[in-house]
Amino acid sequence: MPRTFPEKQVVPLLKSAVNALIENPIILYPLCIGAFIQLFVLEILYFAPRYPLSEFFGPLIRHRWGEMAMHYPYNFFVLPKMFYVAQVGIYFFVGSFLSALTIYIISVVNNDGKITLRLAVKEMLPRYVHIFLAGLIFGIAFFSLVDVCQLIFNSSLLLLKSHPGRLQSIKQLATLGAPILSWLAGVFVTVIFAFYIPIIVLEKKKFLVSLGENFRFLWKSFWFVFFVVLVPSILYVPVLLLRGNIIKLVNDNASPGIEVFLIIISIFVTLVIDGLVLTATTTYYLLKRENK
Amino acid sequence: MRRTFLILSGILIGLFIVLSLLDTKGEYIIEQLLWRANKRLVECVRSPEVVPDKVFAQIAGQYQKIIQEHPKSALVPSAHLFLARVYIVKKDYNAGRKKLNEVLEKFPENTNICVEALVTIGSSYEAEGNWTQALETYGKLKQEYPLTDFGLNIPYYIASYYERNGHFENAQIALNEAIGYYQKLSSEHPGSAAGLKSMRLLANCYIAKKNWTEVLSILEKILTQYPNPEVAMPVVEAINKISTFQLKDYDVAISIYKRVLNSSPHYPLSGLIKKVISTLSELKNKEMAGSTGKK
Repeated sequence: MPRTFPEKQVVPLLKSAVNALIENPIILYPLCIGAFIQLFVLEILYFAPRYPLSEFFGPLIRHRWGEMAMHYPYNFFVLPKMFYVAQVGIYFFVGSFLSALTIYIISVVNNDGKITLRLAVKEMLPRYVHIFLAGLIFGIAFFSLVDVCQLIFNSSLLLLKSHPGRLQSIKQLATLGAPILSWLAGVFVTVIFAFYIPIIVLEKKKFLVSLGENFRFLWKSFWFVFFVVLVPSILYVPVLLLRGNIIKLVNDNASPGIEVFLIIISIFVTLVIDGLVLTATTTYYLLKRENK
Repeated sequence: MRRTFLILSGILIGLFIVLSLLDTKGEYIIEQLLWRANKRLVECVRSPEVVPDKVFAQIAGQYQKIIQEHPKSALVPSAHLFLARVYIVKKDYNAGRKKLNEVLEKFPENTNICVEALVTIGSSYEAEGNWTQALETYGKLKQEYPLTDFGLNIPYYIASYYERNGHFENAQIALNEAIGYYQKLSSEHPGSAAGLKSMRLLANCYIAKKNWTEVLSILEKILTQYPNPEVAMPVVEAINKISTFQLKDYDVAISIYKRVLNSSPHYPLSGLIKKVISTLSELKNKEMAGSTGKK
């Protein structure tokens, strides 16, 4: 991996991250496992209304979402919600650990070392509790901020509701922009905690100490890190817009199952984004640490 | 790594194949087939004149396939019904009605399907301009399924038909008959869904006759007998609109609400009703102040 590049320049850093991923695909290995787990869960949920999985999932789905959720095509309106719940669980228990493995692999590759997934797991497993707690803090902040943004947004739209005319046009535009706002909130939280897990992995510090170190490190280069996270995250915007227009797509001609197809695309796009962001931020952290 | 990638992909694909094969005859698959056929039929409904006959034949074939390959499915009656609708949309009314009569013979215990079949038969006669036969069909529906949504609607629907087609005398006769019918039903089924629907239709009949006093009387009874928010909100809106725009007298609505509150010491929606009384009183005072100022 390249050792030097111009200080605080987003494009060269991201370019070096892309090159690192191409030359060392093992970096993506843990994230691919994360994608596999999500696809596996998605597949189970896709078949949940059908025999034989309906024998187990049927009572749960009926209790939570009603009888209609067990029938075609209404199950596809519930599937994204079920998958979202599953994704939260996957992230908390497995996702942050897989990110930690990725960071560790990047650090070994950066030192031109040899690494396998098994070795990385062996190294990181003792740190699981700290990584899990860090993931929990990040996850709570992430989902809370996204939900708060949506709540503020929806409340604002309700205020606009009784005012026709120019405000209606603003409301329509704002409705289209709601997913973008949530996405931006997610990017913001990712930036705030960008070095949290790298510090736990690389400095082997405890989760609370690492949190403070993360903010101290970020303080000096917030906007740089913001754009390093923002630029690859833009890849997710088309998926966001497609998913936001799913009802129109189904009404026009698409099969209701298109939602599943979009979720699959989003998993792969997120894999690429996470790979780029983790590689870029970890590389930046390692270089700053070396230059100290 | 490549080997792991192939293994993981194999697991996902293998799981997909296995789970798909385990359920090839289930209700879910039939729902899927039915939905696809229905979507094509809905597209044809938009402009049936330009749809080629072979498209109708294909859609009919899809329904027939469901009926033949899954005879024990709970969705087969619906498939028969949709098959009949293919003929109706194609304007082959005789073939459609023949299919619908088969549905009535084959599934007499399935109330929803029988009601839909009768409604479709009736509307096919209407589309042909044969009101006599349509009326006979609707009469049969009203007699055999009086408490279903469609069955309850029939007397009001008949009156609306006459009104729409300019037969005003027949419309008035039908409205009066409907009023008698709904009054009888609402007294026979107090506190039930059928009773509520009868009272709503009774109110609609009085609205058609522009008899606002009776309309308000019915709406007051609904508020008293069915004190739940889902029922009350549209009723309150209707009372306010009639009092304000038709009778131009806020006091009528206010008196109704006061009587409703007094009807029961623990009226469940008293908070809502008090708020409405307060709002109407304010509006009344503003109007009076406005008209005094003008003087």
